[in-house]
Amino acid sequence: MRRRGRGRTDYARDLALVSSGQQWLALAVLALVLGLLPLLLAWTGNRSWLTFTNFTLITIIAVIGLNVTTGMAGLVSLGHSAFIMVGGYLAALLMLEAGWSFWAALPAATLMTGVVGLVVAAPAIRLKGFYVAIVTLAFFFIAQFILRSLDITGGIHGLIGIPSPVIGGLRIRTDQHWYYLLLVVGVLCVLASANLTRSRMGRAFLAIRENDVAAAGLGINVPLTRLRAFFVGSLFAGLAGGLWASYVSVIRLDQFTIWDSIWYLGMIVIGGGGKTAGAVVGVLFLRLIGQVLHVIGTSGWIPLSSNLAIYITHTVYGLAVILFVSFWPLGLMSVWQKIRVNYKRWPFGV
Amino acid sequence: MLVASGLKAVYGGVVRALEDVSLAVPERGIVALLGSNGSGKSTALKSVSGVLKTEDGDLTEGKVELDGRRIDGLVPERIARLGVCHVLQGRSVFPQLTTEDNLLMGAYLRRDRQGIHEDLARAFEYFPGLAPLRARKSGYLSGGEQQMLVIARALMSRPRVLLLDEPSLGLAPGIIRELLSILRRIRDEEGTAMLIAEQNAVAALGVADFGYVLQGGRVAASGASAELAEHTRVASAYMGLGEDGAFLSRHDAPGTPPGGEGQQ
Repeated sequence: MRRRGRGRTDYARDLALVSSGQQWLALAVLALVLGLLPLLLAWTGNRSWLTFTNFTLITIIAVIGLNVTTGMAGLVSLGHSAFIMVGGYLAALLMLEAGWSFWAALPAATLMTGVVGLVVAAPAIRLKGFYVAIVTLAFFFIAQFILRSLDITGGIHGLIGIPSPVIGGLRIRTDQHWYYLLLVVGVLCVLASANLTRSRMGRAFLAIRENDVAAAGLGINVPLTRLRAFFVGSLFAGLAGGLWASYVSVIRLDQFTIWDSIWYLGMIVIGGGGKTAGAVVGVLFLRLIGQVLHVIGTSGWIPLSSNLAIYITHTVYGLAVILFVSFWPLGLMSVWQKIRVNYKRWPFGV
Repeated sequence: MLVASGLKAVYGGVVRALEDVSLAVPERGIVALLGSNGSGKSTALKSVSGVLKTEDGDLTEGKVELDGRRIDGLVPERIARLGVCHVLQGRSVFPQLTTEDNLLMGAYLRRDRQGIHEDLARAFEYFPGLAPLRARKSGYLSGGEQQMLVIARALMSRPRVLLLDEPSLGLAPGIIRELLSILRRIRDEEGTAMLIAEQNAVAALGVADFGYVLQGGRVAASGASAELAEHTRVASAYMGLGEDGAFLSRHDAPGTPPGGEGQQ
């Protein structure tokens, strides 16, 4: 008898990150597209698309981190852009002041941002949701104040001339070079996060989000687990910040706003909280909307002042989040999940 | 093995939930904790597992000992590590996690992969209904399945004492019988001691060796199950037990005039 449906047939397959030939095929196509993306974008004749792609990759790395803290462990952080900022400043200072190379400064800044995350989260960690949000919001403004007040960080003028990385004699300078570097780091981050979701620690994150009393009853140290989630989330933010600083070569306070923190949360809501793929898809979705609005706004088709364009962008972002919360509260990944399950069971309905 | 004595518990520093509760669970024993709503059953379990603290409660007097070692005052995860596993009231599954991931969470404290794998198989053996639902999100399981899951999850930690808070809540009579017979089988085969808080006195006494009846935060009666079951009719006179042995709420207990206290 011919087998019907497309179920998994053994346990190893259940456990595998990539479980079927079709998934391998899809991954191969994705890898090809990602590998050739700079060439594809070159056809558009508009160089801003590659810049947009690079910033998107940095955002993906950052939001993967927020997805651990907020999506998985359920701790709402309003200070994520501040952690990215801190990571960026730390990497810049290590390179400019201490004379470290990019490859030494980046991991160091990443780790130090993680530690900053621990310090920030510590006072709020015994309490749930709301309090963590307030503490991280306060952290955003405190971090801005400190960085503005210090001499070494250049006050409101920030830091300029942040060096770019060198790989085997090749200086990563063009958008194309940066694209491949960011792509490699981004893919590693996605893999790390996807594996975390399936690990003992990752399950503990989900468990404290779902029911912290039951989690404690099973022997999970809830405050410690919350701290871990915050640490891991801040690591990703620090990494994204370090990459950002070197890519832009300039770092200033006004590059990191509280709006960014809020839209990072929006990206997680739109993607589907707790899932790595959801974070990636959420970033792509919201940033593509922003880019389309940007292209329309700068094309001259509609006469807009740049201020008005920013307000319109925020409004559209907000609208997108509201629509998702109303119609697909579990995000784009839940829509995808429905399609997938129906495909697997075909020709039987659910 | 597990001994609680003179427990006095307060919520938020103002609401008294336990006045004076002492109880003991012997090795391999199943002990029923009976009583109507608000009699202190859940609070007694929470005092033992330490979860009381996370709900703004406090043990102001009394002590809890496991094998002669005091465990009151420890944080819940420490108590869980010592082998006391609390199954909370109302099917506390992690709804976004699959059945299997829920079970693996139960083994959170263990590092022996092989043993965890074997216990996973055993859990599905005790609760065969869960096996086909392995990869399903537990939020989509039925009430009975979720109750089975949280008990199976508790077993994954290989507890020495299982604290069960109203396992029969909202389940059909047939399912309750099935659940209780599984519990007894687990005790017989694994040697797990159990303290079961229940409103359904007849069902609980059917599986327990010994029982305590709580009323207003005190132990009002205790005895071997058969003895207590015999007294259920007598008890109905002053403890608000219905004819079928289920506890009635304060307001519809015999003796309360219609339209009397508590009616609007």
